[in-house]
Amino acid sequence: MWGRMEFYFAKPVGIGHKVACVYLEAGDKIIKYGVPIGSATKMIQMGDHVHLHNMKSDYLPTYTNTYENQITGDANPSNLTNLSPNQVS
Amino acid sequence: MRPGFTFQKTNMKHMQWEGYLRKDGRKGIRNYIAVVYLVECAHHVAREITSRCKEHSVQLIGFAGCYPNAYADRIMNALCTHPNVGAVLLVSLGCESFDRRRLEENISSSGRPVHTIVIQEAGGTRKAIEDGQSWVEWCVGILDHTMMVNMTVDDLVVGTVCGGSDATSGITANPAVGLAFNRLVSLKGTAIFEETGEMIGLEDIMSKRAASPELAIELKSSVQKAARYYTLMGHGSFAPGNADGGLSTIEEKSMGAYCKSGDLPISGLIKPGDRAHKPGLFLMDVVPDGDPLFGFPNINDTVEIVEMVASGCHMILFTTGRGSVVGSAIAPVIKICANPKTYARMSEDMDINSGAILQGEATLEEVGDQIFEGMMMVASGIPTCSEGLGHQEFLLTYKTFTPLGPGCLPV
Repeated sequence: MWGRMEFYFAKPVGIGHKVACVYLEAGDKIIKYGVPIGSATKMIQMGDHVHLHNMKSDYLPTYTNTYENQITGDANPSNLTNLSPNQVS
Repeated sequence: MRPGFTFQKTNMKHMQWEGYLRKDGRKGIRNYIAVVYLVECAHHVAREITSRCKEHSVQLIGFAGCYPNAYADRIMNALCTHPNVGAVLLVSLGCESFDRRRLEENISSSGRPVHTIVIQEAGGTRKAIEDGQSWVEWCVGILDHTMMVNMTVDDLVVGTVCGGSDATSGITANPAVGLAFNRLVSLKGTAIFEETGEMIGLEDIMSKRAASPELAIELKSSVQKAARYYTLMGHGSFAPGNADGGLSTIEEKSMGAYCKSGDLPISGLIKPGDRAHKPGLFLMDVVPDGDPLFGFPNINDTVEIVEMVASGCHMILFTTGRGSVVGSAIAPVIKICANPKTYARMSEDMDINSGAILQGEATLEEVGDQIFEGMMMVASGIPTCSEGLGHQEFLLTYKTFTPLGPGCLPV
């Protein structure tokens, strides 16, 4: 879909991790597999590593063992009234 | 130990093998004696019996609770009459509330040899173990004469579970299982996928595949039920290892998990212990009905495997990126390793290396075919890695379910 793109990383990115192929503002939907998998929590440059430090779930918070990363999404029960994945901005 | 999955296509050319014919007409791919404790207090005796009969095909399962539970009762009845089970030894302490008499009656009326040991009546631990051991040894002779029957793909029921997922799971192993499922379902086999808690965000996409409009509504509401349940519990189906492996959110994990189901139409929705009413692809709704009563829906991967086996699965396709080692009692587990680094580290535990796709050494289609052929080989009796290593994980917990809605199993 995106053809060939080349990026230079400041730090190594693990196998299977995500890299932004577009510029994103905070609040923008993160699209993978053609569907939103969460929202950006801050500005993301093209080529940035995309993970818990700059995105969050639109449904349930993501739990990790690292204290500062424990809450990276807001559980928002109001989402439950509209579970449509078609919330692409 | 490694049982060499060499994919000799020739011996499976006709996709036909010999299975075990049960008196109730069902066909199994293993011929096990199940040793079943009916409360934790009887666990030690049951385990001792199993370990003394190790050279025979004995499987240890049980229910720890002393309080009654309709779900646990139903699952246990389904497991004790599973096609891979040829005979059952029940081990009761004597004062627990599990309805052992009805369980024994059900097993007996399915035509399987069954014997109950009540430890309090047998005269304690030592006598109960001796009694159990001699019954199992007697039973081995009976099972050796089990009638054999031709089995083909359309006799098979296969479930899929993912565990220890990372971001490679959704790229290699899960879509490859999806291809194997497509092939199984097109050949009139039965395929079951599950974990509605990992379909959060996908309810619209999935319900479009429903065989009927009523089923579409049921599929959608099963995911909405899961989202509500997990929100009330305050924790989604997401472990720290998932995030370390590059998965950021439950939606991302969901999309990766969902592709295990392939892309054929969905024939129905079942709950744990329900059997598919016809061949096809089925979603299993594993999230309890009503408000959370007994905690998390499935406290680990093993509980999900047990539920699929109770719904008649002969075997389980288990995908993992981080590297799970689990197997299962009663049904063989084929492990498909999504991450090439994990495979290099833990290859003894992995039946199929789908990480080869990321290294350019295999295509998704080739791995899908390997999985399908692996299923046929395991059905014909070849042990999986976890069987060879002696894995027999089992766990049955408390849950509450209401019966299926009318739209769940369209004709």
